[in-house]
Amino acid sequence: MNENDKNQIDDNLIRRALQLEIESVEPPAADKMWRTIEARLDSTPVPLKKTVPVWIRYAGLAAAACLLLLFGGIGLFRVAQFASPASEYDAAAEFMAVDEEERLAALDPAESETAEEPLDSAAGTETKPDAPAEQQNKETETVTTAEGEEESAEDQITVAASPSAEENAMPLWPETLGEDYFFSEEIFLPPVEEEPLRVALYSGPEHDLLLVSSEAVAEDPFEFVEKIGLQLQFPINDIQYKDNYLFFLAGGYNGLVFQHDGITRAILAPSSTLNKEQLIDLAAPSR
Amino acid sequence: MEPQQIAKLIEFNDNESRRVLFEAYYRRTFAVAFNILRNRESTEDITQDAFIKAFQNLHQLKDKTKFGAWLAVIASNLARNHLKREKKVIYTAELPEVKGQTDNNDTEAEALRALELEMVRKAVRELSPDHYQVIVLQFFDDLKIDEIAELLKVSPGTVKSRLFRARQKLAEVLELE
Repeated sequence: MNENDKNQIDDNLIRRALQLEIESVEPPAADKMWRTIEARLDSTPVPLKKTVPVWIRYAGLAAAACLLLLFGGIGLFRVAQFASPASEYDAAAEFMAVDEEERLAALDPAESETAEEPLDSAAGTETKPDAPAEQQNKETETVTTAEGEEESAEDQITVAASPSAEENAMPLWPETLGEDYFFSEEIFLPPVEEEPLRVALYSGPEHDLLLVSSEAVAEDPFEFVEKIGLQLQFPINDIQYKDNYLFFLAGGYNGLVFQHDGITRAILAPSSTLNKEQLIDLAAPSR
Repeated sequence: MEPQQIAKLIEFNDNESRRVLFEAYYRRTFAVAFNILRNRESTEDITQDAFIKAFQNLHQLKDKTKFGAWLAVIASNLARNHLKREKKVIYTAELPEVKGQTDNNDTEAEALRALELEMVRKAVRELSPDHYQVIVLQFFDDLKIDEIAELLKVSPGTVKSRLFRARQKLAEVLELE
């Protein structure tokens, strides 16, 4: 019997068992019950459809709008508060450019040449307080025209937006696993050990997957598999270490343990759906 | 009964149509409630209430062909509420006799299968009303996750979670045996 058949039988067993459970119940005579129902239906007036007053609908809309404004305001405030240095620099550079043009226009050409240096250095130091000294000096030299300022701004944006190690990290629950499985919800299980596992359900086109994540850093994969067995109450069989991955069988599921960013995780898929290679593909870093 | 026939009967919603619907779904509705309550008297009351509620609220049923599943949801909700009111859960009393099992266990495989089937039945009886409800809707009524979610008025994620836990319980009982 292959794994596909095994999984199929499980469903069929449940189906058959339910059918037997329902068929095995002997109800009392239908006639007697129908007469009672008929009598009660005749005596009970059909409940009228509840109508919602119009003002309640508008009150609801008004409340929703207020909440939207409140949270929208808070959101905008937070965005403004934590705006990146790059955007601050853009704004400051733009301001300085306008100011500089006005001032240069007021001066004659000879004075404007001598006035250039202090103005530029002011722009460079004020708008880039976090930049290294060397970089600041470099920008002081280049920010002499409007075009030069744009280039400097681009440099600053690139530095600020360069992906850090944290941004490269796989999120706790990536939005997708592979291309077909989408995060559905986290499942909260009663803790079995001190450091419980976290489990999330991913919906796929035909079947769902489970992604299990350890709360401990760099947890031993073998211990992790044992913990999965305890937490999900699945019997663990057939543990195999191959190509840096740990494969196992848990109940009717194929499992694969992998580590990313020091966090040990496992993907569990109904054994009939995905083979080992497909599991490895799903374990590739995603977000 | 054909889906179109069910839809027509629901549209008519006269005494005769209701009677036909009652006769078609009486047995299974009674069984669903009984498997939660395990008490014939309470089950009779709940079955009556379920049909009355269903007939009085037929206009709320969006997909007329899902009448059976909808009725099962009403009956199981009423049964669950009854249990909550009574503050007791009876899972083991008045268990029905096993029927429909194969008598020709002439091979070891068949005997093993019959045993497995019996264990799953036992496990089904131990499911909580919520879990039993989703299992019935998925495996007896063959509904999809979204359809179950709509009938139960919960999110598809909740349905999946309940199904997962129900299967987990079934697997647990099988494993213990």
